[in-house]
Order: sequence, then C-alpha cells, then structure tokens
Amino acid sequence: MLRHEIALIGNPNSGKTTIFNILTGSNAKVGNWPGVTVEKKEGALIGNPNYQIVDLPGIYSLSAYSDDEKVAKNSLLKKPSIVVDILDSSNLKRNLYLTLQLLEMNQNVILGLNIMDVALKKYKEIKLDVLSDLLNVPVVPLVGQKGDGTEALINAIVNYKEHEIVEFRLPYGGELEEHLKNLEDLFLEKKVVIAGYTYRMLAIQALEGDEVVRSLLKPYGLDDYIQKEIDHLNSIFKDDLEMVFIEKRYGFIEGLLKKVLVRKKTIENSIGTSDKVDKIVLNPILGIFIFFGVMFALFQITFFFGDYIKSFLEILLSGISSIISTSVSNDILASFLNDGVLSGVGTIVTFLPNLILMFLLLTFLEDIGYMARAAYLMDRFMRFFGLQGKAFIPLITGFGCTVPAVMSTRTLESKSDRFTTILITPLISCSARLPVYVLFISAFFPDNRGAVLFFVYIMGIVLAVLMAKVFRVFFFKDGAAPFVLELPPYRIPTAKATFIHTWERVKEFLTRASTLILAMVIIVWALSILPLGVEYGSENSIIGIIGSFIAPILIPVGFGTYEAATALISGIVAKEVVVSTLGTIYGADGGGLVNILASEWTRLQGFSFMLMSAIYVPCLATLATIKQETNSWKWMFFVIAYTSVLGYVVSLVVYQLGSLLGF
Amino acid sequence: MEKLNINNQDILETIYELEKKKGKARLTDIALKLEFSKSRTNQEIKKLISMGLVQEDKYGPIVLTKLGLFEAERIMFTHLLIKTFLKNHLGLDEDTSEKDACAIEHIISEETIKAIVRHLEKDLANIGDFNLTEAEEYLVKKKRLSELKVGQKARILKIEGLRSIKKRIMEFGIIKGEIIELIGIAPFGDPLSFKLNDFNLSLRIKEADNVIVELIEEV
Repeated sequence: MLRHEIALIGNPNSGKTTIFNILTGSNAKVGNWPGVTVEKKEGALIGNPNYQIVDLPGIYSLSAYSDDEKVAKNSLLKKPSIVVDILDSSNLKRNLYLTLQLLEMNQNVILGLNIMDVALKKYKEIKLDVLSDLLNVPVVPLVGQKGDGTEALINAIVNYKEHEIVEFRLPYGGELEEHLKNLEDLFLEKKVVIAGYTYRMLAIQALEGDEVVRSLLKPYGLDDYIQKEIDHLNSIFKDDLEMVFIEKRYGFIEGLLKKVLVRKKTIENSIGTSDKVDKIVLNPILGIFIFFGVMFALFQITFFFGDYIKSFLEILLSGISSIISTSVSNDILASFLNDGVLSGVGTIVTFLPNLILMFLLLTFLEDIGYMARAAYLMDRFMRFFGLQGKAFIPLITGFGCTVPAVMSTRTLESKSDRFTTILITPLISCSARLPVYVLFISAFFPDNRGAVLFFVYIMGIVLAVLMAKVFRVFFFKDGAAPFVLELPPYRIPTAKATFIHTWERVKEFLTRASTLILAMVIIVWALSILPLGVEYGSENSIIGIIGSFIAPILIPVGFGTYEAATALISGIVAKEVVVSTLGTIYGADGGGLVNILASEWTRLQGFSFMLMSAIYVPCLATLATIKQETNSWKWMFFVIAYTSVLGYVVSLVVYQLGSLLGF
Repeated sequence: MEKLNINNQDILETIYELEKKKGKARLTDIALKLEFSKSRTNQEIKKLISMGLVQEDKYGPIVLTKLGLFEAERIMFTHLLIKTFLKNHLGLDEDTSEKDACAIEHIISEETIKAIVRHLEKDLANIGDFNLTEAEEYLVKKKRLSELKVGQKARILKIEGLRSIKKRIMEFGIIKGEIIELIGIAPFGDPLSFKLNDFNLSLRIKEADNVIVELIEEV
C-alpha cells in the first residue's frame, strides 16, 4: 500500500498540537507557550495506518533563522504528500503569511482553520469557500478543543487529489514581477534542475537573498547576474528586497481578507477578556507579585498535598517489606528484594505524588498562556544576567526535569542565548533532586522544612544566574537575538489536555525510573553485597572500596566517608539514586533512613552534602541530552567539570565557614 | 530608546549639516565645528554607532543611518522652529537667536513646541526652507515605536535597523500602514507590549526603536 507522509504545520498557539493528538490519537504534548512542539513527532492517522502524520515545529515563517524553522523548512523541501496548515482563524492575517510561503514552495496544502468559535464571535462571517477558491486549496473549519471538524479534516486528507497542478503564483506586480519572470526564463534557458524547487521558487528565494538557493545556483554561473538584479531592485525600491517581498505578501493577504472576512458592522470597542486580565497580570508592580505568588503557590501545593499522599505510600511499602522479610526464606533473595528493589524504586515511588502535582501545575500554567507572560515579565530581569525572557521557561521547566528543559532551549533563536541556557539549566533543582532534599531536611531540619527547601531552590537559581553572567562574558559575547514574543490570548485548557500532557511527563519519568534507575539500584546492590560474604555495603564491599578511595577528597567539605562518596557516585546515574543508595548502604528506607542519618551525621555535614547533591554533575540522561543538543562532547564534559568544581567550592565554603562559626 | 544627551544631539546635527554643506562629514570637521578634541569626538561617535544612529567606514566619512537621519531632522526642525520664533516674533538678532536656539533645542518639551507652532501658524507657512506643517509632523506626530505612551495608537511608517531584526519584526506583521497600540510596559521599563491587528505581542525597546510610526489623534 502506498504510504503518504502528511506534514502538520502552523503558527505557535494555533492549536496545532491538539489537532495532532486528535488525528493520531496519541498522547502528544499540548501547550500554549510558543514552541512547545520542539521535537518532530510522528503518528499514523486514526483508522488510516498508511497515512503518517509528522508534526513540524510551530513557527511564524520559513526564514530558517531558528532551529525550529530550519527543521520545518528542510522537511518541506523533501516534499511531503500533503501539508496540513493549521491556522488560528481569529488571527488570520499573521497566520496566512506562513500559508503563502507554503504555497510558494509549491506544497499540496490543506488549510485547517482552527479556533473557529472565537473567530465567529469576532467576525460576522468567514467565507471559507472564497478562501478556498482564491488560494485553490481545500479549507476545513475546526474547533480543536471540542474536536469539531476533525472528521472533515481526516476526509480531506484521505480524499486529497493532486488536482491539475496550477502553480500558485503570488502576483508581485510591476518591476518585481518582471524581474522574477526574467529570472525564471533564464533558469529555463540554462536548463537549471534543482530537486524540490520550481523556477518560481528559485527566482523568489534568489532575489530574497536566501543563501541555500544562492549556493544551489552557483554551479550554473548565475551568481553575479543575481547579485546585479538584487542591487538594481534594491535601488529602485530604496529598501532591502526581502522586506519588499514581505510587504507584498502582507499586501496580498490584506486583499484576500477583504474578500473573505465579513466584519461586524458595529466595531465593538470593548476590551477583550484576555486584555482585561493582562491589565492586572502584566501590571509592572502587581505582575511581579502575581508572578512570585504563582511560583510560591506552585511549591506549596506540590509539597503540602504531596506529603499527605506520600505518607500513605510509605505505609504501604513498609507493609510489603515486612511481608517479604517473613515469607522469603532465601537470605540473598530477600536482601535483593528488600535492599535492592524495594528501597530503591520504592523510595522513588513515594515521591511521585509531589512530581505529579508539580507537573500538573506547570502544565496548566503553560496551557493557559501564563508562561509567555512570565517570559515577558521576567525579560528585563533575565537580561541583567545576560539571558532573555524566553530563557525563563527552560529554567522553570528545569524544576520538573532537566532533560525536557534542555530540550526546550531550542526555542531560543540565537546560539549564544541557547548554549548559555543549556549550560546553566542543570543548576536548577530538578524534581529528582527533591527526594535528596526531603531526606536530608527530614533528618536535620525537621522544624524548618519549608524554609530550608526554599533556600536550596533559591540557591540553585542564584548560581544559575551568576554562571550565566560568567559564561556570557567568557564564551558568548555577541548580542542577544531579537525578542519578538507573542502574548497569546488566555485559553482555559480542557482537563483532558492537561491530564494527557501531565501523564506524558510522568510517564517519561516512570520509564526512566523503572528501567535505568532500577538497573542502577540493582547494580549498586550487587556492588554492595559482593564479594560474597561481606557485610552488606560495608567498607569491604566493592562499592565501599570505591567510595573509600574517593572519600579523602571530600574530607574538607565535611563528608569524607565512603557512604557519602558512594552515594554521590551512584547519583550521577540519576539524582534520586543518591537516596536509594544511602538506603541500600544503611539498609533502611523512609523513616528508618532518616533516623540513621540523623544519628550518624552532624547537621552541618548533612547540609553541606545536600548542597553538593544540588549542584554537582547532572544525571546521565541530562548529560546525554546536552551532548545531543550542543552536538558536542566538549560542552558535555565542560558541564561535568564546572558543576563538580562549583559544588565542591560551595560545600567547602559552607562547611568551613559553618565549622568556624560553631554550627 | 536611551534618551539622547546634548552631545549626542549636537553631533547628529553637525553631521547632518556637514553632509548638506560639504557632502560628507569627517571626524576632523565635526571636532572642529563643536570645538571638541578628536579623541572625545571619536568616543562620542562610538556611542552613536552603538545606538545605531551613525555608521563609520574605516578612515571614511561618518554617515547618518536612516534612524540617525530621523533623529537629526528632529533636532534640526526644533532648532529652526525656535530660531524663527526668537527672531521673527521676539525680534532678537540673528546671532542671539541662533545661539539660544542651540541651547533651548535640547530641553524643550513637546507642549512648548506645539504652542510655538500654533503661534507661528498665524502668519507663517514656512520656516527656513521647510513647510511648517511638515516640521510639526516631524516634531509632534512622528515617533519611534518605543516612544509611544501607554494607550497611544500609531500608524507604522517605516522599519529600519539591522536586516535580520527588521525581517523578524516584519514577518510578525509589523508592516507599513498597520495600526499598532502600546498596551503596557513590563517591570523595569522593558520590554513593551503592543496590540497589532488581532493579537498582542511583546518587543524590547531596542527593537521598537527601529520602527518609525505616526501618532494617530484620538477622535
């Protein structure tokens, strides 16, 4: 059977991801922050497995400035069977710009006019048939949030016929059109053949100064001619030619919309709900209070409610543990199940409630449209440290997990902004570090839990921001990219979308926990029990030997013991493993482990260790992502080196100063 | 935009005049005219380059960018307006009018400019070689997008600046002829939020500086 590749494209905030979820039935991410869809996602069309849908990044144009745009443009050059372009019907003018670029690339386009419900409150009518006739493409009205129109969209895809190819030619008029035609004729004369490009495309992009096209045309010896044409036209229009093209396209859209949109007779001058909300949320003073209020609420809800559920799970686990102890007669097996599996994965499972709540809230903020506001509010502040407002989002995401946070930096347009953000994101305390904090806070600061936890998180932020400043000065000196950020209208996300999105994130974490972490816990257990016959996790076990070897280096920072060293080593696999390793070594978990730590470590040692685990080398998954995103081992090793040194320095200062002051 | 100080304004004005009279402005001439040392002039020009107002080819003349020209014309019109007022209406001599205009032009408020225009309009159509209405348009209506006050609406006239930034801004729909409204200013005074057609967007002052607009009088 013939396979069709369907590319899904559209502006950020056009509801494209929701449509993708409906079309494929998969649980893809749904967000309201420009650029949530960074990864290229694929899925088969529901009921039609021979149609493969590829979700391209949400972009405003095909300029190939940012990575998102490059990914999209390159996929389109491979000419998918159909391109489904999702538009926000309540904001057609800007959304149609991308559509024109798609048509000029000679793609087989289906227009999905999404968010029709909002648009029809704004306009009296949208003449879909006129739009369809004028652009010569099928047009399907959609309300993605309610699922309206998706049947029709599926039908349009399945029944798409490559009609008599009438090439879309946007009339540029006058001088420009004449020169385009000259170029097209010249290409014909020189028998130019470049896969994926029509002569019209080549002519337009050559005059726009597209570097890829210019280099493709070089072998034909046309470069000088094209440069002359550009110079000539620049002098006629007294402006960069690219800008003339942009203006002409918008002019065409203007004309199109005059025929398509029927505006309401009375122009309602009432301010929209979204703008009313923004009057408060984006108020320079109130906005900051609201921002910090939102962040504080996020933490309070996460930990207050999370702790209730957690205590139930702990009871459940200790129940299972005692059942194993009594019913399993083989000592090694019982040890394996209790010290390996249960104390490892069990500890992780108990902190799931916090994780789920945190993800749920972050997802909600993202979907409702608050994240873009946060970027706007924090931009000036972030710039003080050499970053831009958008970098706030990866840093916020970093509180959940560093891996998606590093991945979300792809929305930053300039390489400098992006790399700086990637390098500092690991300093933001991810949720996997939470069990470490919770363990040590429970053991050493039972009366000031909230305050100490808040301090550790704030320390991470402060260090990240300071390091950003340092990296800016030493590695990335060039200026910041233009900051053009859409502030999308607030949208109440459907509960389903929020839960799907949260589930995606939790699932990601669970998959990691159940495979990688379980494997590591079992290895650590094996290293602790081998060579056979040693006391579990004692200094004579393999892990004790490795730990003892490293321990002396850690004496100045307060925890030069093989237990601490071993826990830190295994924590590189995944931060939460620090807790399970300690659990395995001390042969206890939950409350038992808290009591052992409280009696064997001093408060200052515990505090110093906690700060070290907050800062030192990020987990393997993060390191792998950094390697992938920077496309360089160098930066990955740099992250390992600088975080180790930074962690050591901070712990050293805290421990030595603390000792001097008599804590 | 970072507010232009007296030195910035004087240098822009001098370059403008030299370009008019001699066809090009050289560092030496600028320094001579303003009675600045060469190194000081050089420093001041570096500042203007970083603001995107002038360009300097190596060892070549100093050239106003389109934004620089916009600022220079503003100062020039202000100067002319004040001078005409002092000379024609207060009966001061050429020298005094010229000197005082040079001083007042830097600190005069928009309100005073408007008042002077209203006053001159009664019996003057031109100031110097220029039409009074044209001058008023420049001084009162034409602004950089970053200079709007919250709630003010304006029509976009021109987008200047670096090619990459210009393209980004324009592809977002900030195009000649569109109406744009400043709806808010972020904490610490930057970035700004705007309403454009059917959506809201945020630009930094640095980017909004590149957009020249014409204020729309509220009816």
